[in-house]
Amino acid sequence: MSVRTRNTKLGSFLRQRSYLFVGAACAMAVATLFAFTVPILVQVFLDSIFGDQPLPPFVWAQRTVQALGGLAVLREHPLRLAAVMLVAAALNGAGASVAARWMTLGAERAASDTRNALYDHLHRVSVAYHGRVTTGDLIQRCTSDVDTLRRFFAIQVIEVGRAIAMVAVAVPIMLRLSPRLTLVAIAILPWAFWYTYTFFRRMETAFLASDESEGRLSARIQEHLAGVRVVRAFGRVPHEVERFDAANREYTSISVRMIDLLARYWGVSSLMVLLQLAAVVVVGATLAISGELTVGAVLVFITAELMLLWPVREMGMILADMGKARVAAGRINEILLQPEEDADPALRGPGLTRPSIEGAIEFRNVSFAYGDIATLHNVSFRVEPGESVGILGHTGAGKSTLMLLLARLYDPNDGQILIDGKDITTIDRRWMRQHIGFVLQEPFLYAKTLHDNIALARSHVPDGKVHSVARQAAIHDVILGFHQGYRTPVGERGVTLSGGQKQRVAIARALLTDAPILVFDDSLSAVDNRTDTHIRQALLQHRATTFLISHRVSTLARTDRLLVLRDGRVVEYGSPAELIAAGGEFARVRQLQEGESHDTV
Amino acid sequence: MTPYSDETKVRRIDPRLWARMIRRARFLHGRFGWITLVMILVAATDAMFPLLYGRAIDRFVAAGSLDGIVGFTGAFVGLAVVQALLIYLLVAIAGRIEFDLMGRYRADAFRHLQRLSMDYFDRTPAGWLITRLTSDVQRLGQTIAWGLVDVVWGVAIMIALAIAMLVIDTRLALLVLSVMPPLAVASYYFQKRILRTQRRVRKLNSEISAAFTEGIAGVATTKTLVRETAGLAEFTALTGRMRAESIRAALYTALYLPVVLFLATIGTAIAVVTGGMGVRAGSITIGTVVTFVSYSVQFFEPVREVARVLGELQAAQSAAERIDHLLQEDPSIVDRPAVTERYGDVLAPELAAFEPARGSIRFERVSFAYNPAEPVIPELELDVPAGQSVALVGATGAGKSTIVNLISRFYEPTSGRILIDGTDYRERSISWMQSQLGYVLQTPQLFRGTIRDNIRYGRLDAGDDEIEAAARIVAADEVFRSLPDGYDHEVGESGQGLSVGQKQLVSFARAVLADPAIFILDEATSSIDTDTELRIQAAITSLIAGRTSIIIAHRLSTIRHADRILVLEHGRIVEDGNHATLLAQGGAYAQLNAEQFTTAG
Repeated sequence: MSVRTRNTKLGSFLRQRSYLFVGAACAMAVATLFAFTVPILVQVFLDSIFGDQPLPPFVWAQRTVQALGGLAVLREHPLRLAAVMLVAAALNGAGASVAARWMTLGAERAASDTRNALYDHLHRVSVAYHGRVTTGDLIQRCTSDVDTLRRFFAIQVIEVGRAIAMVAVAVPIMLRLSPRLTLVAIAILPWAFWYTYTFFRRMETAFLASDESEGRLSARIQEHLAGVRVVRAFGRVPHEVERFDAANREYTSISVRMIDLLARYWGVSSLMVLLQLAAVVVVGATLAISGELTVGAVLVFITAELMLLWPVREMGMILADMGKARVAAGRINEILLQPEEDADPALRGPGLTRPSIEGAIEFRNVSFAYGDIATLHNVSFRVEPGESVGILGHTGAGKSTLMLLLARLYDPNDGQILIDGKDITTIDRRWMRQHIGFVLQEPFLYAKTLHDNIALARSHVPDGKVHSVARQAAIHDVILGFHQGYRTPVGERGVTLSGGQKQRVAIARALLTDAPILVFDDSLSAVDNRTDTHIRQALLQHRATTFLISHRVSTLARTDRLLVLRDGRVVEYGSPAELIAAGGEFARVRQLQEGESHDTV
Repeated sequence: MTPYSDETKVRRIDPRLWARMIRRARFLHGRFGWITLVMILVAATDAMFPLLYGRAIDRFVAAGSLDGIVGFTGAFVGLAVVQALLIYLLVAIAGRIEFDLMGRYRADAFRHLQRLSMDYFDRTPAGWLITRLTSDVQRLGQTIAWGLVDVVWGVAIMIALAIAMLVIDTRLALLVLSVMPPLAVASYYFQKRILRTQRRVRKLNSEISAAFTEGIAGVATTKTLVRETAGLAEFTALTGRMRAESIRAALYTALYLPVVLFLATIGTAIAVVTGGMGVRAGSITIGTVVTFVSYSVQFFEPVREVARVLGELQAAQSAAERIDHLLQEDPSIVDRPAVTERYGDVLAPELAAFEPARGSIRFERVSFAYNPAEPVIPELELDVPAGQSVALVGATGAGKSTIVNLISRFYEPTSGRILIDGTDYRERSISWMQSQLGYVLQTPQLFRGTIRDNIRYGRLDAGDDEIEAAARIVAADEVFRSLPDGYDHEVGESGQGLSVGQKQLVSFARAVLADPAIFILDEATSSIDTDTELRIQAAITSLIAGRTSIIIAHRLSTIRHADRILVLEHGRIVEDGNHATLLAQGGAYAQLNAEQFTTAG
């Protein structure tokens, strides 16, 4: 197999099924042998039973006739040989059926393993990897690339096997009947194969041009739909229709060029096959007249020719297509070869201890860069268990990064983060995360019920607990407002929640964990002030070490400590009162936000 | 289930739906005629080849003479060339049908979308629409074009062969065709099961794609919740079901094809035994038997093709349903025929007939409800003179966005009327109303292209100097010049590469350039740091000066600069006045103000 799968997980999924693939090849070979039995038995009928020619030069055919009582008996009872023919057809069918079944088993099992491995692996690699790649591309690799590979093994490999078996069985039979006609019959095979192969290699440019044009058209539609309000509000419908039409026409005309190439291919290759057939019929007839060949043998040649040419031509197409399977395998392997989070050289490897966690946190000279982009410089601060810390800073100042480092979704390039005095890189990554209730900046809900979305992090949560955290997150009443209440599914098949509602479900989910550390990454931005206040009061009951990232001075002003970041550096750290007194960044922002109400209230 | 699910419906083939889809393709009827003709000719030539070898055997081999072999060869080669040409035509025409059909469905759907009202876009995810206009349309084009080819060919060849056999030897033909009834029974039995299992496989397949999408999009959440293992267990269960179902589907196919093959061999056996006895009795020529043997094999080939087309029709059915659903969606807001006559429709507006607007807005007893049970706005009276800026204030759900949507005529009042410059806006076209608007959204929507192109979207014939003047008005000229390539800076899809603040400024400049009579601003609630916010405030202030403006405001400074503030509760105006008077009243506005409602950012 030339698909580069050696020494990879993907390769092992296929190798584990190699017994099925080998078995399928054997079954296919048996089926092909019986497939050629039928035309030879037809020859026996035409030449020897109903004609007066000797039996064809195949030992098995002569033995079969003998076993059935010889030609004389068969001339009286031709149905006996017809029964043998049906048995041969049945065996051909059975062989093909078994081969197809085994190939399917092998391909489906390997595909299933591959899907599971991809899903698993995508959850083992670091979020940094997910940040680097585009979601659409990953999904395509996991779905259509896996499918390309599955189809290749389930359908196309068997076709190649059939074509090879056909040639291997047909050529000796034809040689036995007439070496001269065999030369005529197979003269075109290599050409047909070569023509198909090179044609489809060349077609790739045309396919690519069509794909690219389609990509441009899709991008146009996508942009139009995203901006539909702007289009309407500026009265640009005719303009947009014009631009769409241009892209739509371009795609059609580029694709039609591809179709014309394909039409030429089918025309030329059909002509090759038919001329070949003409040669066999005419030369066969000539040889038959000279007595070198019987009528039945000519018919065997014609049948064999028809059985051979199409698969051989198809094999050229499949081999040209194999490039696609190889590309798909390469793309899948690229994912599977990404180092797992614990083995990622950019992260510090697995920590092994699982200490109990109180929630004292210290950052010591922590620096971090996303690739070349330095995000945090020498960040140091300490938080006691149960304290709340507000974090303020411009977009891009490094607020979220700070929290992602704490959850070990990234590791610092320099410096240390300590929890209860222990370096977090010595603590098991997942253990750490289990002790942090993290509400991400963009809350994500699963396509499950609201109840399951909230109860997700813990198993066997009583309903009362779910309702109580939902109440604390000020989402309980909203949920009861839905027809199915907590059983309402989220997403395509259920309700669409607003940004603020999603945030609150995610907050409830984090509160349910009873984690000693809570992180709210700008999680109250889309809720109004009253709700904000309600949620903050609820947080007090949890006595967790709490981080609140926000732009809202009113939220920040009520924390125990406040951390102001600018360009990745801590510029201010202290209690809100201290920072106001110091007259720095926080005081300035507070002035900007509150000054206007102060001068009027 | 909502109609917006991508989930494959488990349904049988619906002939009425397909008839409707094909009727939409009426513009191609000429091509459909040609392709049918070509396919019938292909089937006819297919039927002639076995006839030719039969003749060759009778005329040359049986007669032992080569007289006329040159003419025969010429006829064979001629037929081969004709068939190759027909196949060329077949691919070229079917391919054109495929892509023209796709282009037409896509263009129909795109144009239809332009007629639909905003409420449709509000409840339909853009991603859902994109899939309809890309992959669904593609699947439909492919299935109709090539399915038609296969079905026409299949039916034509079966008829052609049956006729040929009946004409050549009626008794033998009837014997060979006696295999038909068991074939029909077997086909019905297997097809029913194959189609059913294929439906299940497709449903599972879309579930797997959805699971991958969810897994990838939610990877950070899954890691912070430490539910990788639970997620994988759910996924593995899904792939396990997929594997079992795919293997079952393949099993039916693996059994069906050998059954067809076996029945074909019975046909061959009947042809050879009965025919052979006829040869012995001298009632039939050996060439005729050869022809019949070939026919008995050829006759069963289309059975597989037609079976495959059935599978594809079923697979494409949900695509057809979704496109049909989209095309049959009625716009909820339409112009009256008299209005359309005067002002043109959305796709072809009569711009010359558009009266310029001064910008006064009047609501007369306007009520509105998204659904009848929950009125959003009860009998609202409002009078906004031209040039006044009005800020709308209130909690989520108070009706701010609804009022803006009503003014924009994205929705229409359920009762009452809205007058623009003293005329009910339904007396003029939707395009007219929307061309009077300048619209700046919560999330600014830009298009791929340069900054200059994006601003020019406000007025397509604006010169570069006018574009720069517009940028200066919103104090954005310097910001744009400082970008790489200045105004020619290329913006990616949806404004990628610009900060939210920069995107806001582009959308302000665009609105200024359009110089609308009425300006609508839906202020961002998303988090913007305080400094960027100040820059944007300055731009807004110069934008709304002297222009009718409706502002959904979240920030105190914007509200303070408005001529008038409306405080909304449950769709009613509870307070109406400017900043100073409302504060003095000490009502809801004063209270909101005290709660630092201002810092919603």
